[in-house]
Amino acid sequence: MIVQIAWRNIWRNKMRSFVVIGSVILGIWAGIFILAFSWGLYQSNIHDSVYKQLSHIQIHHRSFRVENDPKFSISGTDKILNSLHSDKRILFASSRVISTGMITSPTTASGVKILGIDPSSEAKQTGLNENVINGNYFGSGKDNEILIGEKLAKKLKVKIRSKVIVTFVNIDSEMISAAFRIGGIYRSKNTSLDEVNVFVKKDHLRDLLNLKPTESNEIAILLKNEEDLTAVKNYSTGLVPKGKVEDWKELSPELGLVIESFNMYTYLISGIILLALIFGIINTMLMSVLERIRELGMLMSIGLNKRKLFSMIMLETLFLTLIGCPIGLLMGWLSIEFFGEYGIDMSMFSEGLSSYGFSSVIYPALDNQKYVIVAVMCFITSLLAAIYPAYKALQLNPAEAIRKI
Amino acid sequence: MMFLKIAWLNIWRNKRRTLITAASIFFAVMLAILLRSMTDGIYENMIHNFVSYSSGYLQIHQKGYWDEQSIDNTFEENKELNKILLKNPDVTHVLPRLETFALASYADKTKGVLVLGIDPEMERKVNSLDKKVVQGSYLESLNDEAVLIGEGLATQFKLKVKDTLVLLGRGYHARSAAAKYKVKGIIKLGSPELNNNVVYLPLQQAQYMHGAENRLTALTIVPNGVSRLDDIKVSILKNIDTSRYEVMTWKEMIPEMNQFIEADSAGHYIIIIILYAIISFGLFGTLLMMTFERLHEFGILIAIGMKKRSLAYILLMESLMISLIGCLAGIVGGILIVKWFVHNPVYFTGELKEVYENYGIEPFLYFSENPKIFIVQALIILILSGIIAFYPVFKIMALKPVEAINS
Repeated sequence: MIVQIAWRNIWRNKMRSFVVIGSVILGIWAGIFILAFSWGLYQSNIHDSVYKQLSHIQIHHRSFRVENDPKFSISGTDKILNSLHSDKRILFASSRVISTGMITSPTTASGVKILGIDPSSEAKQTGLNENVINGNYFGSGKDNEILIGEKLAKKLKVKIRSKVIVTFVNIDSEMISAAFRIGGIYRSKNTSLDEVNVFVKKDHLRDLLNLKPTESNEIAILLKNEEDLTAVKNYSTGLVPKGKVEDWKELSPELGLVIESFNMYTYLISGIILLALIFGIINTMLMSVLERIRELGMLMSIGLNKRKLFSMIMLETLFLTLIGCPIGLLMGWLSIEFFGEYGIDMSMFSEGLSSYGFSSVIYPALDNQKYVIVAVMCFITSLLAAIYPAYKALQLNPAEAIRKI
Repeated sequence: MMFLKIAWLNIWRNKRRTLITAASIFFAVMLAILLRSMTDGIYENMIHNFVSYSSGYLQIHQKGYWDEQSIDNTFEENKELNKILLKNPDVTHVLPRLETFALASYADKTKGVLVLGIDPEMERKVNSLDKKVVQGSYLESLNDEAVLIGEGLATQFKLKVKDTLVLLGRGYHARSAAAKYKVKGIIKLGSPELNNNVVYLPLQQAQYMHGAENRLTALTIVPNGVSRLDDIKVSILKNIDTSRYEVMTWKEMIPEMNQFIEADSAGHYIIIIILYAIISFGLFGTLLMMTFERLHEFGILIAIGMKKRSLAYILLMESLMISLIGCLAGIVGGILIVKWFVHNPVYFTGELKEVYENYGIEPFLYFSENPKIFIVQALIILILSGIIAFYPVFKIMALKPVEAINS
């Protein structure tokens, strides 16, 4: 009978019920949307880093990443690349020769990481050619062509066709100075790397370093499918038993920092949103209880005991939540389907986004399990929020309550 | 005036109702402040960790230095300038810097490094640089013949405390600058970029090595607060010879960091907008119930001759008063809760703690105490509640007294 009273109660004052239902809908929608949005943002960050910079897997000599010395190289890279390319799980793989040194222009000097690349492979691996904003992407066909970042070019005060000197140590610890002519200037997603990374032709750098023709310092592998990561890692370890095989998470601990903090803050933010939801519902339910003092007093004086009164108010909230939940879930799902398809253009919020090179369109996405979690959390939240108003109703003294307007 | 008084008396006639409405605004303001303080806090912490140990928040250079960062564009250390700068009430300290780029060698390894000539005593006082030493000890004086190097750099060189590092660079007016120094300590800095590249050298040693006696590339100005940097910059510019010097904030010196923060915080806009939506809905619910509950009263007032317009005005005043009370209480509550979190920081555990510590960032939840947050958030909620307060106004304008009295 209590169930019936509660059910009828909520339809007696439709406006009030809609406010509570609305809060629940909004809460569930917000929870779903924030999670999906964060996930989309996180995915787009990873995507940019993996496809434009790191690739899924990199292989180096065991000591290379610690010592940063080109003498720690992997030999027979051509053969390794061939076997990698024949694997169906791998989208693309390429090798690089890497050294660190100093670049000097007539004005000033700066520390750089010199990456020897094969221009056509690098274009497939990281799309480097798309970043060139000035000049050509290794168009001259000459050996001494160098591609530098816009930021570095500004710092060195150099233009296309300017001459720069690059100084570094070869594998025999001899100081090498080589002249290069700037063929192109690029701007990438990550301007702080633009100041450090310069690109030259792999074979030329290899000669300068005194490395043997098949030796490289880095092999980068791009996968067709992220799920094959562990399998391909194991496969690569078999191919290069002496090398160290690392995936993008190990390669870029910064990305780990960003992801980890983002995750934590997402939870904290969801917590704050749920708190806001609790207060909204508490206030509305409290108002609705206090507004009905006379009615509740009447019910009590005709014999509705406190336990039943309490469960009546809790049931009312339960019904309202049960109505709100599916609608909220549906709205959340619909908006994610919509924005997942068309994306949310963030450029209106921040100019920095596009100038920094982040993709400014975010595609929210969420797996089914999260929908359930959000719904359950909102459900529990709104029931918790009803406890205080219901408790408040218990404190009523029927004799006094009836007299109130 | 009389309406104001009626409104004031009205809100205290039913204390419970007023308190509930004020409470919902109070919580709204507090939550908005908490969210904003937290999201801004992450960035402030990030900036602090990077900026303090590199450029500082504000720098003064020889005019033209920033465009051409060469040791030839240095200026002579002068007491007058320091005095003028320190006279500014917003400036707490002035740190001299000689910043150059050089090649560092140890054993068979050579690497380009950032050489920072510093005043060890001042850096200890202002930035607690000595706390970052993980091995060995801190520099003693301006003249100490020793260097501190970043932990990442030490690992790459496989270098230990008391080993000797050779520095080779370009000195003042194309003199060659070469020197060797004992490594006195290894420091761990938050930013990997610094950690892998930095060599700290006592200022006088750096000047001697570059043949640039008494010359500085920059004076780092330490402000007493970080929220009004642009104002401080303007007030400094008024007092110095602008044909000789230039003043720059970190945003101008490290634009990519600022851009990164702007890009990253775009996500937070969406989130805070959602929070506002929920808050507005909660407020609306409360106000709706309040109006509903008082329809009977309104009906009677109109029936005995009160103009609808006046009644609506009184109601608007009531809502505004309640909102003000709630907002003020919310600001106080927000300040208290943020202060509490600042003094009793919540430490991270597990994986996140490790990641943070690897970066030399203290692993706790950092909250921003920027006064702007408190005021802006309270204002936003005030405006939101002001807009929502029009609901009862419309309701009254459309009220039919007979029905209302019977309800």
